[in-house]
Amino acid sequence: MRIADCRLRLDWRQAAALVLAICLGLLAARSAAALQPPTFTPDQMGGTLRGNFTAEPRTLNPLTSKDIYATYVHDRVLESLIERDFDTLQWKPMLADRWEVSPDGLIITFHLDARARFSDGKPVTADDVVFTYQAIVNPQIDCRDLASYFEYCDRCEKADDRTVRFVWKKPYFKSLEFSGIMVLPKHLYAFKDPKAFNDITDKLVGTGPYKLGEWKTGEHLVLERNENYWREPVAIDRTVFRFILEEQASVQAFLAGDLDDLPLSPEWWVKLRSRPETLEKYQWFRYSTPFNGYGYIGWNNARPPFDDARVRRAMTHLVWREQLLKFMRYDIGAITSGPFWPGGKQYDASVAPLPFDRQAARRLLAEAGWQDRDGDGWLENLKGRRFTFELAYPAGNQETRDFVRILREEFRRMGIDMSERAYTWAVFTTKLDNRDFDAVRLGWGGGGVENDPYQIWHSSQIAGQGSNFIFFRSPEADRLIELARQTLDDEKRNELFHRFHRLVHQEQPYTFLWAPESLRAMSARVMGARVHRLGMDWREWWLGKGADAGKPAKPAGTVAAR
Amino acid sequence: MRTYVIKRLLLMIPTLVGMTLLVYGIVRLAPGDPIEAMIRNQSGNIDPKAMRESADRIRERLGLNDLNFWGDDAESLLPHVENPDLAARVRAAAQLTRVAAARARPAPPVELGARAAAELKRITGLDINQAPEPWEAWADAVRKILADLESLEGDDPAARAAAADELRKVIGYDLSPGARRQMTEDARRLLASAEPFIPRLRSPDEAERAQAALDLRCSTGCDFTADPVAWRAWWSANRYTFGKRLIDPAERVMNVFYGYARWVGHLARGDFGESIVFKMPKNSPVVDRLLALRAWGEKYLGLRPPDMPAPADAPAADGAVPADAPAPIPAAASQDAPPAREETRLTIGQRIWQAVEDLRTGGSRNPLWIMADRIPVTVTLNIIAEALIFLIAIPVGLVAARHRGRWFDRASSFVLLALYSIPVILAGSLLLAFLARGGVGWGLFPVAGLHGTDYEKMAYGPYLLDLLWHAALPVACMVYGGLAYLAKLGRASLLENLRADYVRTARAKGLPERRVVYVHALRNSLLPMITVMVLALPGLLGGSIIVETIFSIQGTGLLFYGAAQAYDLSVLMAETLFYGFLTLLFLLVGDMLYAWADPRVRYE
Repeated sequence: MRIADCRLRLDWRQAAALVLAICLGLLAARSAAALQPPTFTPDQMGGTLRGNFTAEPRTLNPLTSKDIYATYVHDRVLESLIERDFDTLQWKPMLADRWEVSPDGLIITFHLDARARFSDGKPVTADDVVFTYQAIVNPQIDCRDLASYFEYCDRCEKADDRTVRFVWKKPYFKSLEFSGIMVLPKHLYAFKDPKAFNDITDKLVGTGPYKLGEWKTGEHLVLERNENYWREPVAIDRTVFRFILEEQASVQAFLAGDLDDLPLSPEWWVKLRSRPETLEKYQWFRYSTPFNGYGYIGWNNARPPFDDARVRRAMTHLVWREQLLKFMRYDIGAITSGPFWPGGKQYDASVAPLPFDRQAARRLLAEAGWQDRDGDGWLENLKGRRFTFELAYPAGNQETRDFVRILREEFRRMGIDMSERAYTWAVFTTKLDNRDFDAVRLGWGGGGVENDPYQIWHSSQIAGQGSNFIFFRSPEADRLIELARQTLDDEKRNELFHRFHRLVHQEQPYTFLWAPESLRAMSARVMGARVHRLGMDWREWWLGKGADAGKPAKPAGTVAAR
Repeated sequence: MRTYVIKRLLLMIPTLVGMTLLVYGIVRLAPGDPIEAMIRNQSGNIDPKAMRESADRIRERLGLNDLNFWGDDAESLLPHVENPDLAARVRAAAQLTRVAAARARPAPPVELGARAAAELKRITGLDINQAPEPWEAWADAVRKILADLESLEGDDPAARAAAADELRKVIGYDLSPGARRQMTEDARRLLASAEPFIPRLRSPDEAERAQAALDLRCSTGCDFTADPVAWRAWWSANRYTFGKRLIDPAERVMNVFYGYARWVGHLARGDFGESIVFKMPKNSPVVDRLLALRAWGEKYLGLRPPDMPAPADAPAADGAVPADAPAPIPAAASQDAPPAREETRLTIGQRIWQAVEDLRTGGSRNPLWIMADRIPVTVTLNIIAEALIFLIAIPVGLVAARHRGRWFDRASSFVLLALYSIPVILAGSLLLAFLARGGVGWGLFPVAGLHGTDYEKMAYGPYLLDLLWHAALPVACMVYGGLAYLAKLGRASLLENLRADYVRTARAKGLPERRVVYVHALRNSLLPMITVMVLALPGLLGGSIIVETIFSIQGTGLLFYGAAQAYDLSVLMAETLFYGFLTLLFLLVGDMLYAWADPRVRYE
């Protein structure tokens, strides 16, 4: 056979298949490349990033610490089995390079990446994962809040050196998320006496791109580069967190060039951006993340007058959220109508928050029997009892106080006699536990990409000092929540959550206020800082030197938002 | 004089007792449970069972798990809840409910575990959650208590006595009038919320029964059950409640005295307790100094770690260590638990060595160490501030007094009054904004902290300069107010002395004016100023919360404030004792100083 005769002969079907295969291959290669952590050129490597904590963490113990700043440190030193992609929110491999979930959702098997090793060079094995799980569920270790996530988990067992299996008792849509724990090295954390583990405050060793350096109480906390990092190295060598407690002082440190990364309150955001020279010199980021939570007014659904849903809806109509947000928080935030992250799939975007409407409020209140029967300017019910209640809020926050006072004026105009009282936190929590309040102004933090409403909204959580302190009781809501917990199909489950959202909107057990936005200023030397759906990813930053330094990465004044 | 001093010293004791008892009482009687507040503050939305377990563990670790003064009644009833006979169990649970409703608020939040409910249903055929009998028995019991309480208010003395007997049998002791009123109210409220639902438990419709059971559970907080596990869980949740859930005010006050007596007992053993929120860190400068001291002790006093045998020969008189003594073993890695050691065989030196070692590896929650860590910072700042106040106030007061009525006197008076009127918060913010880096104006001074980075590596000279540079603004905040006060005092005092007879005599004798003023009058006028300074010394150690917050300084001010907010009893009691003692001591010293300086003053 001669070479010239070997011509490729394809009919149209085979040609199409070949083209398709090539396209898929390219797509896979591109998405695989997209999944790789960013790589840096040699001149982008190096430097020290300087941040600030406004409160020093009490302990960096990976399991017992409950400080939010400690979680920032854990984020950089420890890694979990899986992580979420910052843009698509899908699960990505981290310490586990692949995993399987059984069809009934009860068995989750992780296969550990062969390259994964801790900062001391030792490889990550299934023993480490099992050890971490057993430490979490050990009742003597001070992490009962973490252990409560594993209430329905039967066991975590090692299948072989690099395969670990979590076995759950009931199908639960968050099983995969909870199973993807941050892995601790057994050879460094193993303990005979749980008290010894509980007492650890500054030993933090993991697989992450940084390791714990110097921690000088009252001064700073330093994270050094992990030379043995098993993935692509990050660009920045060191991160230093200072402990400047007062906001004005931290802003001045930032303006003097001593800090690179500064979270801001709305007042300072507006103040700093009002000066053109400051606006141009720095980078500004405003974004919402699923971890910002939301603020609300909680009505005690078991106490009149708030046991009537019409009254609660009327109260929501009387809270002019748009104006309040504009004047108190400079319009920085998003009004919500339900207990989920507005940017997530659980939130039903078709549910519009109730508008400010005095007529509708008056009508609803009249329907519920509240009218001004004796012309004294206050509403009374059929029995002649005046509409009066107390709004309780935790002391110490100027903004909340102003907010409550504005509400009082608005309610007075409608004829509702509201008194307001601030309580110190310790007393306030006792009142919540005893369900001893008419209405409270509070907020929930955290949340996450997917939220399980069970703890706050299920009727079983009313008794026993559970978090359903407003006595929200709806058999339909209970049913939806229970069903959704066990539904593993994303679409069906989100449909159930949408129905739950609509139900809550109808009942108005809370008046949902707004979800705050994160505000951040960064110095010009931090390059590559971008906002993703999940927030900002410190792993993709690098520090500009030479020609890059001094010029902000974005054109002046642009606000990078979602 | 000696008797006077001894009398003063003896009087310190009741004063300190009163002081500490007052602080203890306030913290114990203040509403709110600090441990749970602290956990909830840190964790946000947390599973209540998990929170109670965490709280129990923290209380146990910190020794705050003293039983309520009258906690024994519930303890004695609990075993009956495990009686194999269901009816007996239900009766015991009914009694516990009554006791609990009378004692603690909220009413026992008992949850029936699904396993226990299934088990009971299997044995008795009764769905205990929906069984009407336990609820009816409970409602009957509450009605009976209510009737007894009402007849206690009635006219018939025989009926009153009978009712009091009945109540005493059920509850265990006599109620105060306040507690009686409270219990009547609670009983009425409970009945009112439960009565509508109880008849529905007998409905033939399963759904209605289930709904009624759910409503009963929600409205009364009682899920009526005879499950001993649940009762034990409830008891363990409520026994260590710092006495705050007791209703009866008399009980709460008695609890305070009982707790105070226990605290004094701990104190007598040298146990100051443990702080809830604070810790002396391992890398504290205090630990470094202790390590240096220990090294010196090893060299000259023969301090040895516990595993080491003492060297055969005692160290030579000139302090040289025998040549064959092995070097001290470096500390065990902090990761391992400390090696077991036999307590009885340790010498004092070994104990000291080990104590320092424990501090080095683990830090400490002992309030004394926490204070020891913070006090040097506050003392340094305050010594500089006091020195500056003195150095500036005396000349200003002197010149103002000598040239009374002229421009300097008027101008300084005006300026000092203006300074005195500025509140510290405003002064701090202004100094920060105008004089610190990154603000408007000249950015001369640093924004926060007392040290630059890498301060340990500096030589002593640069370290001192760095410290002074960082301390400039906080010290300025502390100085300006005291300056005004002391300058005015000095001026007034000097003026008074310049008008005195002995000054006229001195002038008449022909002494030069300068000698009259600076040698005679000044010395006498310094006396009140010194007294003021001595009396202010204990206050210095208290620190200034405002200055420390604005400039991010870890001093005793923030310690006080944080401890008060967190109801951190150990730290508050240790501080009260320490500063109370110091204040009383310095008051005595000030008085003695005055008596020594001024021969006219005499004490009986």
